[in-house]
Amino acid sequence: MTALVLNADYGAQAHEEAGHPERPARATAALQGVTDLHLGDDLVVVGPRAAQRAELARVHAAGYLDELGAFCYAGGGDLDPDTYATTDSWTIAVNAAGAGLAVVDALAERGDGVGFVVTRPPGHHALADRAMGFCLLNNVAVAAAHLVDRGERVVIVDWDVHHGNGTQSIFWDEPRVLYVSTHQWPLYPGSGRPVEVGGPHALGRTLNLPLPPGATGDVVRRALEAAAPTVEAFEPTWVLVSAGFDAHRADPLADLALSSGDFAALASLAGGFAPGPGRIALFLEGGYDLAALRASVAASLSTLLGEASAAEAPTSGGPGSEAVPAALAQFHQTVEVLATSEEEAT
Amino acid sequence: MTRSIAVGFDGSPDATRALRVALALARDTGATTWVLHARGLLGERGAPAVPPVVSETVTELGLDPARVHWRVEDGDPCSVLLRCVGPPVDAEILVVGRRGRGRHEGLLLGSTSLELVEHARVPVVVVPSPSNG
Repeated sequence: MTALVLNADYGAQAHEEAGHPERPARATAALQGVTDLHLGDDLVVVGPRAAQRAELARVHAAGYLDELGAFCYAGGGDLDPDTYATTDSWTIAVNAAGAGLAVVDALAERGDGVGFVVTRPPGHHALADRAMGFCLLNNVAVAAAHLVDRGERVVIVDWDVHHGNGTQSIFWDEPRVLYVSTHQWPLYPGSGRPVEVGGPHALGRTLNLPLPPGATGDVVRRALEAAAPTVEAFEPTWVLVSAGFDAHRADPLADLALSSGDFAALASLAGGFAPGPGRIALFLEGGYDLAALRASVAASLSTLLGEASAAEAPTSGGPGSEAVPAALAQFHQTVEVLATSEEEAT
Repeated sequence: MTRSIAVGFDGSPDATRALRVALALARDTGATTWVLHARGLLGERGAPAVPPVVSETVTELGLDPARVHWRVEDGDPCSVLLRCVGPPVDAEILVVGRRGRGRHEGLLLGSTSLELVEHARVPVVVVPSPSNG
């Protein structure tokens, strides 16, 4: 199968702050993970494009877009204790958002392949009207809204170690998007409880499966397996993955204990949610240990392409075996209670 | 009667001034004070200890230490303060400094105080910097 890869890192060297872990070398490592697969003619590099304002405005407030652009052009600075912007960050972020659009459009045109969008800064913490958690624009949300606008039904699988609060918030009341997240709990950004299930028009369209520190790959795999009935009932026409690789045991920012082989298994499960070829794209989110990032990208992509890879062995035996069924029970109970309340109110 | 006041504290000079205002309000109203520290993506792991300035200000203002709680929450400062309107803090007043650590003078985007004023469903007290005149 063909891999459609877009490196939106052109010029992104200018989005950098000394000593910050969200750095240009991350994109280089991710791309090395792709080239490690020696795909030859099966690697298609999609041409980049900038996201148009109307495409960004599907998920971001107009005022925020104006302020962010002006802030960057004025020289940038710190947007919160974690998040920086430079003079060039606006252009780079707009290109990152456009990268996802270019890849899903290319997949749709070909009707085949697996998309992998190498973008930075990452996006899943970015809210409609606020940058946070290293994120300026919500790349996966921009792509999902683009697909929804065409009548598609999109499941977003977010296996980054941090909860994607921005993506959840943007699609909170959108019934045509199902957001499924596995993440460490407790951890930044503090959201992602199982009782967060979506707004009144989208009850059950948000599924959060928080996991304790130290959880190994078997538990995360079980979480995605447990999500399968909800995904199947949703009948997605597209799968977008917020593919953070910071749940790897070597990552310096979190405490889950996955190996690159576990990401291969997660990719296989996410791929199983796709209704057919050319309907899945991975978006780079977190992942701050460069060697782990490189190996995990290679493992994930090779699995989706049906290629062999030299991934680390999957992990098991960590804590949290009870976390998944407990979270799923809370999810179903909350949806039922809220649905009953809605019925009684009407 | 005010029962719970929450103040954001990041160690900055403005946050220290906000802390003093919140504790003075608590002394005058009999409210419990929650001193909240937002632990970001780059924040220290584990449970950071109570900063000495908190204990010192409590003593200086003659407050009962048992009614002043130090709490570390994961998230950005704005989200953490907005969340504390719910349990267990149930804040009825939010107090915050005009500028957080490392912020630029006059910056609108990313201003915790402005975001809080816009989104909070309880009163927000914004303590100005001395440079605000």
